[in-house]
Amino acid sequence: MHDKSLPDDRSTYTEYRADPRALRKHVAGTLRSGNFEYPAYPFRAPPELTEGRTGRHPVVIVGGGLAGLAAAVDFGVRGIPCVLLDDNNTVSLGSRSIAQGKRTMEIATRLGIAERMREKGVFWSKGNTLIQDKLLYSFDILPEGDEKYSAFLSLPQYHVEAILVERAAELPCVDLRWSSRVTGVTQDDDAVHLQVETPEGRYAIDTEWVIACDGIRSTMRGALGIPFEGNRFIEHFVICDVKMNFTFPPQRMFWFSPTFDRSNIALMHQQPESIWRVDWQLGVGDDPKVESQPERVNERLATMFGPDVPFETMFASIYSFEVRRIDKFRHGRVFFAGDAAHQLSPFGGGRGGNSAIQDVDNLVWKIAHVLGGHAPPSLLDSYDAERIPVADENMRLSRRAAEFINPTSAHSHALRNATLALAPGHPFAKVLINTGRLSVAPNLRGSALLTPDEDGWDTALTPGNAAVDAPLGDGEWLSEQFTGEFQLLIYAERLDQIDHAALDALDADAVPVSPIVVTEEGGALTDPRGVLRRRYDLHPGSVYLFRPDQYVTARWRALDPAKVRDAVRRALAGHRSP
Amino acid sequence: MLNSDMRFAAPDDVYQALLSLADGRNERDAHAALAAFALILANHIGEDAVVFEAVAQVQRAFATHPEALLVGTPDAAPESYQVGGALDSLRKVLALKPAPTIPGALTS
Repeated sequence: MHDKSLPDDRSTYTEYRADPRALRKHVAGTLRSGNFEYPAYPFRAPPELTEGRTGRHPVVIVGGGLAGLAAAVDFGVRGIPCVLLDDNNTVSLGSRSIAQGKRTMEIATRLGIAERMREKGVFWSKGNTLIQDKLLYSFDILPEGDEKYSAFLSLPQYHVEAILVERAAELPCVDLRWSSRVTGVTQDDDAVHLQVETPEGRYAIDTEWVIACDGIRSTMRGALGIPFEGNRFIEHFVICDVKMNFTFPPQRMFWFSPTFDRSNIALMHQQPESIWRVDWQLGVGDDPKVESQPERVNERLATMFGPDVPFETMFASIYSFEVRRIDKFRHGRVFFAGDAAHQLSPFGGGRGGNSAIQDVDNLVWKIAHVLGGHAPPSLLDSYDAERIPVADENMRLSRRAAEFINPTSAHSHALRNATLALAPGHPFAKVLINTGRLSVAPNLRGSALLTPDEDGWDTALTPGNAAVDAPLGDGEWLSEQFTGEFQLLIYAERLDQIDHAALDALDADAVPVSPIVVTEEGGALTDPRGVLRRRYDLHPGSVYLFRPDQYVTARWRALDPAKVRDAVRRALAGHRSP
Repeated sequence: MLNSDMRFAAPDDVYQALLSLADGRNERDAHAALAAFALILANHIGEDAVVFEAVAQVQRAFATHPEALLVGTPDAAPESYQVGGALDSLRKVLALKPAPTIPGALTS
């Protein structure tokens, strides 16, 4: 939560927030219920204050947004003590990220929060794109089938954060410290030294590693003097969360040239609990400060919805955005993740929140193995090597959607409008309409941690892909089998064809490789419909090695423990063992 | 006769390539680049009737959807706002038949 953090002087990111109390004065009709009670997490004086000493911790996370909380829970489920410092005492205001992608849900399964998220969220798949009041085309992102989670779950960030906080409380080694602001940072070869300011005084912490997850206006980034530059987009967008007494099946609506506003585009997107995300772009002559006034926001919403539809505005702000990243995500012993490391457009297909969670998913197991003495600190350089290309791809896709929505040249404008004109009669043109491409799990192709194939495989899946889910027998899913360790998926016709002694030995290694055994005849997990076999091109004896973040790191047509151990060493050190 | 289904493996990359026709050009020359591109493809097609049909389809699309050509221009803003327009169009969409599935049409 970077809401109250010091402004970063170099940042040109602007945001004007409407006062929520004033927003809610407008209630047309009888609708009157808050949907979400913002928790006030208490400040508790840590030992550093009560005992008057400098703290020593293996890991400190700065910032308790999606990335920070997910990192804390990930360390927590691994049994590694961590301290999280957040300068606020609640979850993020307004819904911010709302699309929790399939990959995020698979990570959430491992963190133990997927069911809690599912209970609160809504899955939707239908969307409509219009010009004025004419339907250009509709789409239905049908679930691909045979995967536990569909493309994404609509669940606002504040809910996800509250669930993560609840989960952290179940993990004794996670120490969430609210109302604790970092005011100073220095680092040397052995440690990072943090100064922390709290309602009950200041204290100091020495820590081996820091993950900075403190958002777009990151104070950590500012304190280390790291520039954050990229493309600034001049357009201003209004973003609101509106509770509306109007029920219909979940849909997404996107208008070019809406009839109810002078904006270039408008968007409505369903969230749980009768809340809608409503966005529109300000017109050329609109003054962001004027248009962020609660009366103006509500006036425009009333025009959208009409006089008979009661609504209550929960949150509204106006912002412009930039697409940018810092040069390196690792700065000595400090790692940057989420918005502190990279900023994307709001129409990026849910890349902001999802990539924040993917960042820490990539980083935490690596720090865990370094802390445990099982990997050299150089493993941590692979965080940059693996996540910077993903950030670049996200930024590229963000820029493309932004260019489609707001073309920056006459040529681009002509191509865009030609696409829109052709779309109703030409299926290919519908596909070219780009109002944001859905975030999917990235491929880590080319990473030095991966072991290249030595056998032939007849599947699109390669080392560097996140595990693709598949249904197993008895209602089990592959996505539920992951424990956060290295794991070896082994497939055989019969249980007695498997070298159990070799599997047991691997599982007993210093860095354990736990088996996921799937057989045709039973006695272990089964693949009754053959979906797993097809997706992974499994033949009897085939094995897949997954990293602790569920990425395929190596695979062979037969189990050879020496090769498995080599691949594990490679995944931990970034080079092949001699 | 003309195939209008999506046939590209990476549609967004193709769109990006078309955008790049204008790189480093003024508006007039960008027009010319797009025209040159159309000429090359028309010749590659090599069937007069297909080219005539493509021309006719452009004419039809532009005549049927003049509003598309105004998107993002000052002329797109409505003279008066349609009160309740957002929910009206939502109701209209819901009255239509179920949305068809367009392979590859992923959007946020």
